[in-house]
Parts: sequence; C-alpha cells; structure tokens
Amino acid sequence: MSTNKIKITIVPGAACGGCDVSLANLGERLLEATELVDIVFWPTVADFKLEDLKNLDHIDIGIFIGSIRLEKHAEAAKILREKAKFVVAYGTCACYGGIFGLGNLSTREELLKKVYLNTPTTENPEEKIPGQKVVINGVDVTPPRLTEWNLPLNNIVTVDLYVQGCPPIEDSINHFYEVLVSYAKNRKPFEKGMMIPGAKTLCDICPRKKPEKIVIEKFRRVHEGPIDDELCFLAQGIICLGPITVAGCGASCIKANMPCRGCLGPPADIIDRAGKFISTIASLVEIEREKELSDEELMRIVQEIVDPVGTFHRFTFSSGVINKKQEDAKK
Amino acid sequence: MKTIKIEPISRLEGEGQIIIILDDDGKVRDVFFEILELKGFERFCIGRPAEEMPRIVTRICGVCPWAHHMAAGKAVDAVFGRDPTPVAEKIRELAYCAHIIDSHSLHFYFLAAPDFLVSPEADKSQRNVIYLYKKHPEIVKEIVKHRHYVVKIESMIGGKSIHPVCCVPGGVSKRLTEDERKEIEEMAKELIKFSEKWLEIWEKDILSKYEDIIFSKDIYYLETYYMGLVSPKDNSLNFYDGDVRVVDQKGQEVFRFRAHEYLNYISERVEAWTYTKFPYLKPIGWKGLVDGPKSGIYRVGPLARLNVCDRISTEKAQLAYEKYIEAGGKPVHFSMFAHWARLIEMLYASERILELAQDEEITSSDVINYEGALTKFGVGVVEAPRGILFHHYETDDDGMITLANMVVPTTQNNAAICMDVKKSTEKLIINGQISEGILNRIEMAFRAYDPCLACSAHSLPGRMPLVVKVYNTRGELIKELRRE
Repeated sequence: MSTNKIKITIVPGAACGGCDVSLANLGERLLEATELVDIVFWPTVADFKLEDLKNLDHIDIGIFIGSIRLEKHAEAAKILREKAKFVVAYGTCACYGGIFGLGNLSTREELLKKVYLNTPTTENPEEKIPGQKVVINGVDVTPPRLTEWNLPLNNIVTVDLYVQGCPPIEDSINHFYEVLVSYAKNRKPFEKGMMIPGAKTLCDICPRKKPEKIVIEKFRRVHEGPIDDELCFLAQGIICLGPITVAGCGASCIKANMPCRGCLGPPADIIDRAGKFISTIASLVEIEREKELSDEELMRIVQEIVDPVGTFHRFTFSSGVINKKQEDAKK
Repeated sequence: MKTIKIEPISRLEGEGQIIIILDDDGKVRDVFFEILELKGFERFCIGRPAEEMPRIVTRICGVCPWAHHMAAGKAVDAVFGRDPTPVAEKIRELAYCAHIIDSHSLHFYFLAAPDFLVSPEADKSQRNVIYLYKKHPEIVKEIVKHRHYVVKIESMIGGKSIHPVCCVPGGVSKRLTEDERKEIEEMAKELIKFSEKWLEIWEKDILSKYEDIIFSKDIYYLETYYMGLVSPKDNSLNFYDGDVRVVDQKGQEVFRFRAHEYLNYISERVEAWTYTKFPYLKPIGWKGLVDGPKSGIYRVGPLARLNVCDRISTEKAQLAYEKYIEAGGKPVHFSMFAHWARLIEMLYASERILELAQDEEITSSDVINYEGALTKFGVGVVEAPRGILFHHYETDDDGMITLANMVVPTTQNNAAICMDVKKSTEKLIINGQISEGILNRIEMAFRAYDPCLACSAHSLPGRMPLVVKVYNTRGELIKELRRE
C-alpha cells in the first residue's frame, strides 16, 4: 500500500552532520515502520536537489536541517516550502541558526580572510580566496558564494514545526517520532508553529538540588575548581543556561557534571534569550545585599561573566534581537 | 572541451561536487573535487573561553564530534598547563575507542557492506540497508544492537554520543561508577566477538570475490606519504595519543614529531575553487596533484595508520594485522584496503575497551588535575576515525582564545581524493566516451576515504544518489547519467 505512505524529504543547509546521524538513528526505528513512511529524498547537493525537488508532485513532510549559509540553501528552502504540506525545522541550526551564528560576530569577508589568509598553516602568497570567480581551461569552477550572514530557516520561509536540539535526542526525537507516526497513521495535521519538545525549562527537570534561594557572590569558570555533582550549578557560581533552555535532552550534560550551554534553544515563551538570562542573573547576584551594593559593584560582579554573547547566545545568536555584527554599534 | 559535473558527495564542511574537464580529444584534463561551504570556526572561536572549546568545536562535525572534542580537550590541557590524571587519560581513551567503533561501523555496515554483500552488480534497489533488512533482518538487527553498545558507552562518559561534554582542562568531568564499568566490560566482550565475525566475513567471503577491485593498481592506488600517531615506546597503533610519524612510499620513517611541533611539518595551500585547503608536508613541498617521493602529498586515515605503526598492542587485532600485511605488503598503497583496515581497527578498539574496563583504577575518582599554570598555547592531536587531527589554540592572559587553527582529516586527504577520482575517470573515460560504470567507480574512489557525510546522511538510503552531467563548450547539456 505504498500510496498510503507519507512522503518525507530531508534537505540539508549548513550543518555539521549531527542531525543527519540522529535522523539515521531514528531511521533505525523507522526501518520497522517502512510501511508507513517513504523517504523519497535525502540528497546532498543543491542543483540536483533543487531539480528533483521541483519535479516531485508533493511531499507530506519536508525536513530542513542546518542553517542558511549559501544562497542555494535559501533557494532549496523556498522550493521545499512550495512542495511540502508541512515544513519542519529540524535541529537548533534550522530553528535558531545554531553555533554557526557566532560567525555573524564577523562579516563574511572577515571570516574568509581569517581562514584563507591568516592561519598559521596557510601558505597563500597569491591571496586566493574561495568565492572569487575562477575560470580554468575555459570552464567556470567558481564555488557558490556564502550568504552575507548565517540565518535560521524561518528568516526565509514559514516553519510549521520546530524540533529543537543539537542534535535532537531523547524527548525531542521521541516526541518527533510520535508526531511522524501519528501523522502517517491518521493524517491528522499537527498544530502549526508547534515546538518540540515544548515549554518546560531544563531547570524543571534538573535532578540537582536547588536551594530555595540562590545567592551568587562570585562567578567561576568550569575549570577553576571542583564541581559538586549534586548541587545546582548556579548555586555554585557557575553559569548554567538551564533557566532559559527548553527541557528535551534528558539533562544529559548536567548528568555528566557539566553545565547547560543552551544547545536546544529557549522554550516557546522566551523571546529575548540574553535579556531574560541577564535579568535572571541580576536577581540572583548577592540578592541579600542588593540594596547595599552600588550599581558599579553589581556591574563588576556581572562582568565576571566571561564572553556573555558566546555563552548566552552560543547557539541562538542568528535569531537574537541583535543578530549580526553592528558596524556602527560603537558610535 | 567538455565539462562533467558530479553533484552530490560528502559534506564534511558542507556540500561537495566533482567537476571533470575533458580536452578536445576526449582525455581527462582536470578534476576538481570541490567542497562548497565554510563555517568559519577559526574566526568565531576567537574571544571564547579556552575551557569551553571542547564543547564548541564538536560542532565542526557531528559524525566525528568525539575527535574534535578530544583534540580540543588535549589542546586546552596544554593551554592551562595541566597534565590530565592517569585515570582521566584512561577514561578518555575508553570513550574514544567506543567512538572509533561508532563511526567505523556506521560507515562499514551501512554503506560499504551492502555493496560487498549484495554485489556491486546487483540491482540498485537491492544495494542498501533497507533491502538488507528485508532480506536478512537478523544481520541488520545485530548491527543495530552492537552500535547501541558503543553509543551507550559514549553517553555514559560524554553525557551524549553526539557532541559530548566530558573533557575539561586536566581531565574529565565525571568518574566512572562500578556499575558502569561492569556494563562496559560485558559490552566489550560482545563487541570483540562481533568484530571478529565481520573480519571473518571479510577475509572469507569478500576478499576473494572482489580481488580485482581491492588489489587494483590501475585505479585505487597511490604511492604517497602517510601520517599517523604511534605509541612512543613501541610504535604501536594508538588513536588517543603518541608521536606523529610520517613514513614514505617505501614505509621508511621520514619524520617524527610531537603535536606542538606540527607547524614545522604541515602547510596548507589554498585554491579559490574549493573551500577546503590542501595540506602537504612542508619539508617536501607542494608539487601539484601528483604522488611519489617528490610530492609532499600525504594520506591519513585507517590505511595510513596501519602503514605508520609497526604493530598492534592487542592480541587478536595483531593477528588480523599480520594477515593484512601479508596480503597487501607494507606499506599498503591500495586505497580499498581502508575498508579492511577499519575492521581491524574496530577489533583493536573493542579489545582496548575491554583492557581499560578491566583496569584496576578506572573507577577511581581522581579524574581532574587542577594544578598547573596558564601557558597560553596548546596543540592537541588525536586520530579521528578518518585520520589525524590537529587543534592549535593560543590565548590571552585570561585564557580567552586569540588564535584557533584546525587541520582536519578529510582536508588532509583532499589531494589524494582528487587524484584517485582523476585516476578512475581516466580509466573510464576513453575518447570522450562516458561509461555508465563511472558512477560506481567514482563513488568508490571517494568512499574509500569515508568523507564525512557519506557515512551519515546516506546510511538510510544506503546508496548515494549521483548525477553526472556532461556539457559541451557552449555550456549545453549533452549527456546526463543518473543513479538514485
């Protein structure tokens, strides 16, 4: 009954491959559900992909992996939108731009110059930089240009379903699997704009002991001394993004005695992630003595947090309120 | 002049394509294996806290995140001037051996094995893991079961198997409990049996059947330098640590160095037509895309590792290694031997996991050394599943990154992949006639190197969709071959 199968496609943007591996792991489960699901399409390159996408008459679920970093990623996303009943942003890069979003702290030209002119192993006397037009033996072999900035999928097309995770594991992927199978069985459309795993924060599921009142007198970095493996990280003065990160990972890093770095992105109701975290932190810093502390002293404590952008927005900078290098921000 | 474009391949750093240019009498003139993307880690790691690097650089590659995690972990040990405790080193190596099996098995069982088990001539629809599942569900279920063992070991130690978090300067974030140790020990015993079984399948069923492909000097054969890690005391195979050893086309050691000296030995050339650079041996120099002793091109990966080491420290893998050398000589230049090498490495990794799981101090709580002074410089090296990997960091006085440089395996094999692809096209394109077989042959050429995404994105369909387009000089499409 192949006509009853749902047609799925998987289209990659700029990705590390981790989402593909997590989908392959899901695929191991899907092997048993081949009567429900037909993966019509999991290619790797744009021209081929675009043509074939254009030729398909319909797709039920179009899964997009990765961020937008080439023009052809954007083009593929638009075709996917036209063809698919539902478009899924799978993984943190598709949902929020992911870690490559930190590339937006520099311009495209700065990225290219750094990598191709200024690393200690590079020997490039002719200053060749990929993306410049190259014609060899009369044939144009120019590789595609990078987009000016790294972008999440919803900057290009409307997204129906977000699956958060870097890559989606545990609750995130289990929930997504259920949605897929349930759709395959009943064709019941899911709520548009839905986010998987949902609205709980990591703190809600964290197994650590959390004191009723957290007081941070001093921030410290993860390598600076022993970490109590049963006590809340923030209570130990270690930055942990649990309060502003959605729960869906099974607290896997926390259980390995490492603080959360927010790789799933925020729960549905948090819009400005950095702003939310800074207000959370501000309320924790020496709360007892808050009234005695001058603004300068308060700022000094907050400034102990090293690399706030790379910490609070490590995976979400592309979708933040400020999401790229501001040339005139200093003015 | 004609241009052939093959558009789909690996995506280590994103997407890739192959462009082949024929001259007017139908001979291959040029081959371009292009990587079409850049993320810019070397730029955006600047300003990040050094101790966070192991958790940032995992995202370079979701197929071998452990390799980047470990190389970064070792680089930041050096940045903070801390020697990891002996227990931490053992826990790291144990997890890392599990990762080697994870990555190799994904590649071999899901990608290469369907080709060999079902036969390369079989109908396309039969050469994939889905067909294999329908035909032999017990084989596929067994593969899945054993893959889950290694994923479990990775998760126990690293928190999660993809993008682990355990490496911190001076050690690991968490000790191993006795219950975990016992479970690992049992799983390792199963993994050894499983690896032995597949080696037997290879030696008995595959090798004799595909001799013409595996032992072909015409196509998948390059005489290059090889680079890999060896244990300093006995030159044995080592994934986690050791001296970097380079052997020549005859197998003689030509260079030997420690990770922090890598800048004396490796340079990278840039071509504007690809986002991937071309590393070469600095003392030998760049002579273009040619093999032989005067060309600084070297190969890394399973083939290279078994060429640079003198022995394997575990009993069963050593025996398998002896058979391998007997068949292929030393050094082995046959690119297809990489598949065999992967199976031997999986056996070694399984045996090594068992040794480490039975180590008396493996459950000790002494897993981090906090002593040491900031040196502001560190180079970490490991053997990634696809070959040797270097991470080099420098920091300011606060331990914030000021320089990050990574030399990754598929980049190091870039020149060799281009050459192997060129060789296979030269054999198959005669007087401009494009044989249908070119699709398989070219695919096999780069699959032997296991360029990253080949082993992940395609593990479900099992086969890569390939398209070859032939254009005339006016840019008109004159022929299209397609295999999906």
